[in-house]
Amino acid sequence: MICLRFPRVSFAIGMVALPLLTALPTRATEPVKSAVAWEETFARRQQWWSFQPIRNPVPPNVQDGGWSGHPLDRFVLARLEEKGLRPAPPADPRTWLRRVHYIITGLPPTRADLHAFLGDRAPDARAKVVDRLLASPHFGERWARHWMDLMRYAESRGHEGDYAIANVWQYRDYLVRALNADVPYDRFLLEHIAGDLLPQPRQDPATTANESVLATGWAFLGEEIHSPVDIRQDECERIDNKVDVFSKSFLGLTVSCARCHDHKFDPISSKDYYALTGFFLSSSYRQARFESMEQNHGVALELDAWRARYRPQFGAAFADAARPGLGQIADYLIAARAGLQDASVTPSNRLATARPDGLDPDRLARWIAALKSAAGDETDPLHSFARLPPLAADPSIDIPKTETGNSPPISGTPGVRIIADFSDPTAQPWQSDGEAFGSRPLQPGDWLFTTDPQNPVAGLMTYGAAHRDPFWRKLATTPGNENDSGQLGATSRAGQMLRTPTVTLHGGRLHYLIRGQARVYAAVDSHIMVEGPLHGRLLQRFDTGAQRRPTWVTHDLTPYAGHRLHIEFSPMGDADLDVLQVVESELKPADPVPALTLPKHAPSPSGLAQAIQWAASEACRHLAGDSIAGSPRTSQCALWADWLLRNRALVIGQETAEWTRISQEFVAGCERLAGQARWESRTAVAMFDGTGVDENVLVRGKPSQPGAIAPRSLPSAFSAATPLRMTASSGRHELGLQLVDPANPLVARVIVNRVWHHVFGRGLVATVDNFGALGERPSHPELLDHLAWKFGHEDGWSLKRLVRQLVLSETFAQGSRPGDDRTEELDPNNVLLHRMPVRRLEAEVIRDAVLAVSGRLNPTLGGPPVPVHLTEFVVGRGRPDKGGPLDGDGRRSLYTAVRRNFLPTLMLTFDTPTPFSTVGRRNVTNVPAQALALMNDPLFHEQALVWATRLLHETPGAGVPERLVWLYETAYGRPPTAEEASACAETLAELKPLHGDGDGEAAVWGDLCHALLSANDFIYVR
Amino acid sequence: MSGDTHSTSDPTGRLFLNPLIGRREMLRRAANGFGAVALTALFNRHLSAALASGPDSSRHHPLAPTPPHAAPRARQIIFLFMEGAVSQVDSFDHKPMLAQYHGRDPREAIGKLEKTQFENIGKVLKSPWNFAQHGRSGLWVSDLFPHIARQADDLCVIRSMVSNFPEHTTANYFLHSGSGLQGRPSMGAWVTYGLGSCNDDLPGYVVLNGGQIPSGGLDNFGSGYLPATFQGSLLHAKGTPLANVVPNGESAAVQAVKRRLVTRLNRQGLAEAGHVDALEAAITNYELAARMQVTIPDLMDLTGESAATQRLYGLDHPYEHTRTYARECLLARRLIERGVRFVELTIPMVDGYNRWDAHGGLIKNHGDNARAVDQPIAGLLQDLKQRGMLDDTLVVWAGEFGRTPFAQGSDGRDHNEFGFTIWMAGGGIRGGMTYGETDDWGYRAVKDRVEIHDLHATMLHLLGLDHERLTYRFSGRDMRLTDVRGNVLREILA
Repeated sequence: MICLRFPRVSFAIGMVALPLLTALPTRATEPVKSAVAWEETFARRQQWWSFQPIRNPVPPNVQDGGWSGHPLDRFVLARLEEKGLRPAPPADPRTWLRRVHYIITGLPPTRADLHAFLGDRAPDARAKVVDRLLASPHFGERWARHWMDLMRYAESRGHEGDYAIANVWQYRDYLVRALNADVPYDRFLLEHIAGDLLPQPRQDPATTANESVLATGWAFLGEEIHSPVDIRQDECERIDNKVDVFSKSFLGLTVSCARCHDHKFDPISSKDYYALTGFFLSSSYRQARFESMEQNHGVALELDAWRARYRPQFGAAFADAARPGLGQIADYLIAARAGLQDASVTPSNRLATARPDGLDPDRLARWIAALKSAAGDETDPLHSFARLPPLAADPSIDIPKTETGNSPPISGTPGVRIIADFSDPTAQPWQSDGEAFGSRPLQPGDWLFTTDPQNPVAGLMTYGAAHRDPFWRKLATTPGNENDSGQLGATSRAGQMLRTPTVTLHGGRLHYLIRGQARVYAAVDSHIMVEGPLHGRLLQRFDTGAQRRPTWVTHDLTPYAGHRLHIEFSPMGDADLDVLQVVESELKPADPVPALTLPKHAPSPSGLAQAIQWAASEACRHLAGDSIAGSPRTSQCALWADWLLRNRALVIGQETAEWTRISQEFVAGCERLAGQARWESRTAVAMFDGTGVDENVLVRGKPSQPGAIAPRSLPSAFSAATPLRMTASSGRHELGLQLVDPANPLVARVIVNRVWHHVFGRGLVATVDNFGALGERPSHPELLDHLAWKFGHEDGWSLKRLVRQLVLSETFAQGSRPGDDRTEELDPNNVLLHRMPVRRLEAEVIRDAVLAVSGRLNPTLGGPPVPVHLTEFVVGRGRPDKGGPLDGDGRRSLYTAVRRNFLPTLMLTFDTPTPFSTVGRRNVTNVPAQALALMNDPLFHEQALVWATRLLHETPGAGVPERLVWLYETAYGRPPTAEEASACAETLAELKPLHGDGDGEAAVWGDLCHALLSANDFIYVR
Repeated sequence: MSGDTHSTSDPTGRLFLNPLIGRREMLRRAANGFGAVALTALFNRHLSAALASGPDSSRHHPLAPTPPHAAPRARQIIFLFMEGAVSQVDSFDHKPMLAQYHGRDPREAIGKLEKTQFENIGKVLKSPWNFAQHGRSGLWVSDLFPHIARQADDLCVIRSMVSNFPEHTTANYFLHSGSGLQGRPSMGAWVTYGLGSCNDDLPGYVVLNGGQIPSGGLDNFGSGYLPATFQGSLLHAKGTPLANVVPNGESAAVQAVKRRLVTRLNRQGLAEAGHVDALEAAITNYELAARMQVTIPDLMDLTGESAATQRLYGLDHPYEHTRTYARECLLARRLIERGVRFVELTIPMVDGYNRWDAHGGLIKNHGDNARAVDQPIAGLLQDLKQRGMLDDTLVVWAGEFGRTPFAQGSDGRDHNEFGFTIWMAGGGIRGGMTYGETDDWGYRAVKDRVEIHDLHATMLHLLGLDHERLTYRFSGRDMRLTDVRGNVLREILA
């Protein structure tokens, strides 16, 4: 019998948890004394207001009970009354309408919207407007952009090459859909942290695409450097950025401050920082086949069941057919052996020769051919027999020493360390992206199937391995889907990837026991931007040729000794791939040698033939009972059973009708399932779960100075925080659940405050990303708690209900005109909200408004980004080859490409943030470059003309006054004042002679339109 | 949309009025009648008056000149960024040992080597250029820079620089912002934040683009978490100097009519809205922008410069890239004359995207780059000097790191952050001196090691700014250009 020399694993999991570094002496950051001091400091800091539970305060009594019945307003009014202030008189309905449109959808009201609202005398006219706007798909676009500021959303990786992040816009579209669907915020957050791990992901009802997994893409929106010299330091920077975004965005805390030392002001220790890094170190990057994953997972389950159903039928049918012929195996072997050595037997005379021993000449010829092939193939069970010396020689030959299957030559070998052993399904968690490697490693005796309808049974596994299932060979990505940048992009790995646990390299020489063709990516220090001179060796291809036995291949990673990594395997083309083991050792292990277990005392050919006949008969018996996998004699039995199935023609002759019937039924079922499978899918950036990694506290932030282990956990300041020590997964799902636990006061407070900030222009906590001691204290702490309580306890974490509540308040309905001297003196920064602020529109909104007003706005939702319009001011290395049109196809600014090094000039001019980390509160600058853009940016000129053309088209024969009303209502949501109308009319008169006769009316009106787009009333909202 | 006042954290109240000062009080104090929390720009004050201004009413306006912490030695900075990294051992750090050991295995000659970017370590490589001593000071300069060598007595050559990063982008960010990360404020932004500008019609921090945008892109010149007002404004040395500064194909008459209308509408709107600071500031900006359409083209127009001056810089040079850099250097002087606080020059596209980054072909790469910048820089130093401007203008010449004293392959040099050379001249700097040393190979700084943070601290010091007091509250910390480091190099001060 044959066995492969592979080791049994006993300690692979142990490797995972932590690495080399634990063995190093730890250098304590502080003497024990100061650790005690930290406990005290921590306890004191934990008393900070934002860490206290959310209460549900009763709205205060107010003197002016008639102003509003809205609880929110009572909190605001009470604070005003304390100071002896009054709320501002309500804004004009037109002002309110324009304001609420920009807040909710980021687009101006149309003239129809305006007139409908003004004509609606119903008491709930405002509510109707708000509900209409919240139901508009443009709501999601508007609020997705706010969220993208937090997630430092970009579509390229910055730095020297500004390489693209493939398909990252799927994350942006996810946001738009999730916000429009009003996914509860706790769920939305959970998806961001563990959308890939949810037992029941949200699916698109129409397409079954997995929505939840898309949320995890945020982790990879940061910068990536190609060819970093210090790859580990580079990882520390990347992880730091993720922790920074995580803690500021979700918790309003600056945990990153604790990277090099305990936080100077907040109850956040350095250990808390490193406890968060572990979640990221335990998760890796992938392009997820989000469209196909759920569907195909279902198909895979059905396929497993279908195969399980047909395996015994195939086994029984085969055994029934084979049983009569089993007793002749020895005879055929002896005869074939004779025939093999008798040159007179040729294919042409075989049929004619009637045999006295009753053997079928046709079948005998097949036996001869089988022996011939076995003689040259040491993996063939007949190899030893075929290689026996000629008949004339001494029959008492020495049969090669035999071995049985399970000896572990490697695990017993010093200096050989096993990283993954897929021959042992229990050796490590099964972490495989997609269905290509099935749902588990296969064991000896597991049936193998083909996709060939004529011959659906391939044989049996004869060793344990992660096996590429040929059923899924047709997996492809949708045309137009992007490949990863750099060398990783050359591999199509999405949904076809198998990974090992994360370990820390010792010497760095890895060896893989595989069969077939493999693309291998060594994810050292989570470096994915593989390009340039240094790290090409992380990606390798291996091909063990056509042979049926696994062999060792070597991946030299010695430059990365001491670094953390995991290995990802993916198949190539249509080729087979079995992955058995991953080991680390100085020398490459010897290839597994096939070894026969044959009777030691049957040295004659006939004795050997009898032994083979007996082994085959045993195997056949097992096939009939479907009991090979897991049987004690597995390896030998599986080998013979596999041989029998592959060589059915030797023992059966012709397939039986029963076999054919079963095959046809089976194939029909497989084809039905293949018809249900989703072969093409787009892919998106997402996390992939790995084995648990707990980071060391790095002393002074230096990777060269690892200190004590920091088990993965939420910062200990949160009562729900319990360390998550699981080794088989990152623990992100548990982390997410702890995070959104109602006992955690920050999540609800932070998001409610963010929404308030966007609606009212200033957060109740002005430092929206920092609720720590260096942040500002809340201006209305009870109001914040009231809103947070209601949000989490009564409104089901609904962002739309929150927005609705805020914009339907009387506080929001106030006018914006500054009050009298006393009011401005007492509340100079309007912290108490004695009026609504006058606000400049954000860059994106200005551009969108220009397009909306001109009529050019293309309301299409989602899809690939429109390339940046290239000008001589959008310059530098990695500049996109192709620029987009000046008007960006009329699409909303959300859809303009966000290339880190090539951000659109107009956006930057109006303070779109550079996407480096969380920016919950944008700068609002007021610089001459903005005025220059309004005057001279070609987009404004172009769209002014488009707008003028639309004016003339929609107001044929109208006079100047009517047209001015049309323009003013379109752009400003109100008619012009008499003064404005006369100023415009005078300007028209001045412009007319400045244009030649050939320019036409549109040119003159275009100039006026341009002026209207440049005026403050257009870019400011009152 | 954010609040109608600025949303930046500004605990010092440096940018905007202290909220304790009443609004009417503020209006009373403001000289020009516009209240304006956020008047970023820029009223016509004469340069000298602006420089003399004390802690007056204009403090609230972010680009208004602000008094420094101490008496300044320099008022303005010209930063000559030698992107890609000039080889110290081929320019200012003379190492005869390299000739002695030329062609030997550096591991044997030098000993253990640090990792390099390409890990393609060749032999010890002597400089292909000859070194000689120059000026009264006897400063060593190679014949790579024959023109600059003649200004030796003005230079303070720091030969012991180190950086933290061996790779261009991070090192560029580090040199510019004291951090290897994208999105941090550049030193030009910090300086402008600290001192304001002295010109009402120009930004405070101007980057003259010779063609080569550094690795890491425009973020090298960004304002990071500082308000965008302080970000570097990129002026193209050739072509259209600034986005939207040239009217978009319309006649001046049409533009004037439109401008009048916009101003009229804006003023009517202001009356309607009440005195909202942001609206007032926008009106001012609109008028300033109109002026910039005139002042910027005027700045860029060199026809008023004498033929001798043009020759001095090399505007008549046969080599195209010398002419480009000459134009940049002359524009730098004109910007400084107009009171711009911080002027940075990027290098021309001499060797494609290779910059000074001579991984191979050192002689051609460095030869061509030096040819482009040598005469213009020397011309700039001479011109500043003869106009008496060098006394209060600090000129800084630096790359992001240096190069290895051994070859990469056969004829290149790899990145080396362990020891390299920069120089400074002018405002408050002792000329004709060297500071710090590398080892015998020019490989590692061994004496008076200077970090980028020290360079920044010294530059700020010369401007009268205390690098520990120039802070901005962001992300829960008082951020500094020098992070938690930085020492002023007192030995090099005049």
